[in-house]
Amino acid sequence: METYFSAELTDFKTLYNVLKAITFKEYATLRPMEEGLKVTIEEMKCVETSAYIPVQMFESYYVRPQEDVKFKLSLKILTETLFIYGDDGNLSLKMTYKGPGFPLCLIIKHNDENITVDCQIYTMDVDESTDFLCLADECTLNKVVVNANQFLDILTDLDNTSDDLDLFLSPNPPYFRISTTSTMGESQTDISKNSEMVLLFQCENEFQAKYSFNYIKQILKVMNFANKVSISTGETGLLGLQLLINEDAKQMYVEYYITSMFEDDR
Amino acid sequence: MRFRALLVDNAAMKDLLSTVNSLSKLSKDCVMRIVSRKVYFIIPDEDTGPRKPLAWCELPVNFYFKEFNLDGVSQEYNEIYLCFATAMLAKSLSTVKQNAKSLKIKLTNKQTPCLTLEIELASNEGLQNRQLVHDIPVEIIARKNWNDFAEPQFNDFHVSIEMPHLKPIKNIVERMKNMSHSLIVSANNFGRLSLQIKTNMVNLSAHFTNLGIQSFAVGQDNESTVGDGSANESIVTATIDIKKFLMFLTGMQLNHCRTTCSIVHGKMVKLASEQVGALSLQCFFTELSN
Repeated sequence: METYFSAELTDFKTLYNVLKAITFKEYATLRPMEEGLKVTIEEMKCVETSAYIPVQMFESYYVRPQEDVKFKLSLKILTETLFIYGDDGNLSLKMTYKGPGFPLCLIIKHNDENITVDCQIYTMDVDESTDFLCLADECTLNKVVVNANQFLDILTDLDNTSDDLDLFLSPNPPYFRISTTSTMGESQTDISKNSEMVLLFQCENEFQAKYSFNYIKQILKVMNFANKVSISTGETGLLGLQLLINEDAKQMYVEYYITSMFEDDR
Repeated sequence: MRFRALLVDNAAMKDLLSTVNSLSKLSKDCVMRIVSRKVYFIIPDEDTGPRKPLAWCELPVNFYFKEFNLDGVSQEYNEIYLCFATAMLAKSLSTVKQNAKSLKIKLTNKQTPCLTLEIELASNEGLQNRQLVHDIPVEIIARKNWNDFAEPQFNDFHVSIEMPHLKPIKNIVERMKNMSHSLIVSANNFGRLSLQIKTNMVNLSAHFTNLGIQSFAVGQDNESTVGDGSANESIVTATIDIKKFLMFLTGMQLNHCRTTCSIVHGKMVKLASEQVGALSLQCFFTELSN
């Protein structure tokens, strides 16, 4: 029988770090596509995080053509398995997925120590109702690209006790404003479009929406590994963050989408 | 009952410290058995009903001690059994890391029975010679309870196989512990040791190959034979508590030790580390009952 998906990878330290940082929930959907492997975690239908590992990251990569391959598994188990040798280097990994009903098989070799780990992670079928919308197509309203390090600093410096985070984008000053409100007080951070950390600023109409800060915090961990963050918004208040993670010449992406909170009539 | 021992070699003191440190990671309390030629440290297994040792450590007297005087409970039984907090001994001994000239260990009676350590530190950089005295309260174990701490004897191992480097194993078992409670240890007659976990989510095994086989009992009725023509593979397996196994691997910071893994099929696993002439440590892991 022809396998649905197989891939080989030698250095997967970054992949491990990224997957570990986005393990907010136990289960994730893996979707091997022709362009690369996509790992998606969805929560309460309002937050969706995907790590996208392009084909170029792999030593070899095969996915059965004309087949929508996707399966669900425990991301926690997958990350633990990728870290099986701890920080020891010089590993090689081979993944195979034979098809629905079969486990995802991993073979991880330690090339210095003559150890082989083989692992079958049982898979589940993906619930058909959670069909993937192309969220990237929805977030077309505005686009701001910022330096990840500095943006992360700003987000971590925000009032931690605040429940929500207010985002305001405008073609005129203050351009990009992040505000929080809590019992401690209110805070506002303005980022000018001429700031050094802003690499691109596209905004034609004013945009304002409120998001749950607790959800936003989830993404901070993986932002540590990112170089650039692209912020885009959609008409319904959908916020998309795209994180670009550079490793040597190879690139990985993490996409994060969150729906806005309902405005209460104050 | 009298006991007095003297160490003057700093390297031997440090060896003793590292052994006690390792033991203190395995258990809160330990039993020290003193006989005329050997000192034993015995770690009782806390959860088994009839007490069976979890770890058994043997130190030959002549490697460590310059002087060693023992008057046991009686002439017939020239032995002493003491019980105390392992961490306390480890902490008291830790001062030998400095430049200790001598270490005296004796059994004293100061309100309660105590193991008294007298450490003499050499002078360095303006400090005078100093003497440190540590009293570790101990409980003397009565003669009638000695049987609880008898050396476990197993001579029906189906396999004894050399263990690879402990450090990568420790990493692997640490990850496995996060996914499962039990560990399946198995070895085959071609020198392959496998550590495996099985849960409803995952089936993961790590294989170590080309290991030296010290003994392999053939013709066991419980062996599973994979018949593929010329080479017949027999496998011996036991399922044990992963936490205890990891505890042993974390505690084992002893250098220059050779470790052997022995398995009684479906019954138990023994890990034995030995530094010839200086130390032998055995850990016993019994089969998990489902």
